[in-house]
Amino acid sequence: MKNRIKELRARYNLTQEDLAKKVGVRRETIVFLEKGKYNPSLKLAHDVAKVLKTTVNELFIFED
Amino acid sequence: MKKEYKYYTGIGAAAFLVAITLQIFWSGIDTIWVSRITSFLTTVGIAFIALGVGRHMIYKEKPEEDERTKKISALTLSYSWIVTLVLVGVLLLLDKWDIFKMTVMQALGLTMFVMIVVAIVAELYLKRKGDIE
Repeated sequence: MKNRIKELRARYNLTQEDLAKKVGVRRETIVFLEKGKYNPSLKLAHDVAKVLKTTVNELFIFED
Repeated sequence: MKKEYKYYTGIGAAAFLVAITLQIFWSGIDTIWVSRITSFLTTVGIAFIALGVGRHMIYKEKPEEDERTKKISALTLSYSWIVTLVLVGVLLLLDKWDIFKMTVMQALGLTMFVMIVVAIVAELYLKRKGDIE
């Protein structure tokens, strides 16, 4: 599963640390999320999407 | 400093102070129990202070755990528990068939060692991997 977290984070000038703080997770979790190595819970996906002013559907690219 | 770290440090300092007070006021009485209690309280005090200050130095205001680390910790404990169960079973059979005998202390020591090592290795591996599949 790919995502646009890095792109949107850069657009809003947020560091991984800032984003982690805003959604209440550790920075490492954001690192793995961006790399597509971690599948977040629906709540975390929603929180990240909210901080990055987008929707879960637009943030995460689901591949068959 | 987070509230829980303050509590740890406070409990540690309190235990340490009680130990020092006991040592001063009971120094005239030569009882083995006073010595045992003060040693215990000193150890507990140092451990709690180290826990509070150490965790503050590592994590500061960041979360200690989140959904990813909680998942990893849960799986780590499962791995550790299963490996230990298998080990205990093997030790039991080896003893029953008179292949390898161990004292109770050796068996408990080995079990604890394996349990801790498996947990540490599994946690390190899963944290590097990023997620549980």
